[in-house]
Amino acid sequence: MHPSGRLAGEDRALTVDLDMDRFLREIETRAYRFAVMGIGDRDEAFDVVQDSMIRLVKRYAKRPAEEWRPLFYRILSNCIRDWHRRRRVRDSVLRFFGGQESEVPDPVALARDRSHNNPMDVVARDDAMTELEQALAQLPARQREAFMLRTFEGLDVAETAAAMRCSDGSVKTHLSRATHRLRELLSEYY
Amino acid sequence: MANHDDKTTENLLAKTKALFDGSVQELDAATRKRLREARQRALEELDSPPWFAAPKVWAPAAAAIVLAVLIVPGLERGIPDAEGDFGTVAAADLELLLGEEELEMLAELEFYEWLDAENVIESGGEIVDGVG
Repeated sequence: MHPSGRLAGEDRALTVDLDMDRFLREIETRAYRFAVMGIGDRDEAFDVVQDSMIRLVKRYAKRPAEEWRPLFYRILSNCIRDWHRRRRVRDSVLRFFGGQESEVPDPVALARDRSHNNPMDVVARDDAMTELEQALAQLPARQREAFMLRTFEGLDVAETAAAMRCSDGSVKTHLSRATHRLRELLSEYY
Repeated sequence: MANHDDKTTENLLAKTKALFDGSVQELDAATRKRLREARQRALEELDSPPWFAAPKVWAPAAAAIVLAVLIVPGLERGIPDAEGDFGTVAAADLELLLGEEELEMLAELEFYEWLDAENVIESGGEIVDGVG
């Protein structure tokens, strides 16, 4: 290979490295909170986020950087769905053999570090957050996914549809139903 | 009424988003450190060869192809047709191992070596020279 060609290739690879590092740095904390809310278990959420990052890098690093966000959230959503599926199977097997099912996550364990905040604010936010997490947990998975992607992550309808592998119309339907249900569930707060 | 609904929905969306953003901001140092490590682990994949270049992907397939090419034709032919041909030798070995007579021969190898040395077996396998 011509030396300049090799250098150009190396430059391109370095640019991808930097871009991917920047992208993952931007989304990692949000992705983690997204996973915690989708799964309800901190350690499992770490694993799911790391798996999603690795899959993105392995499969899509060479795709244009603008596509990474919906692709990442598609992978993350799939990983969360797979996690629920695996847990259902595990629980069925455990039930069959008379064992204990997976424990419901302890809300205290899921609480955030608020050591630097006003205690009253913390309590109020805690209550609101717990209510929100419980309300979201009551939604069907696809509605929850649509709501979180659109509202929390700010993906537009087309990006959300790409992430969820469904049509724009389905996203709107899921989102409308999710919003309607959340309004009922959270009427005391909002 | 519709206006009121819209406002309530907007309020809900804005407040839930603010709550979520706040929970992201408040992540503790240990969590951020673990996420940084997860990111580094993912970025290491950029330097690893693509999946199709990994030997572990191709090794089993290559081994299966080699076995198929070397052994199957030999098994089909049944007998060695060329000296030093690995495939036919392998097939002959298999026949040797599977055949009862050959196993007996192996057990009495010293006897057959003696017969050979004494030139007492003519072609056709009949024992001559009064031996036996």
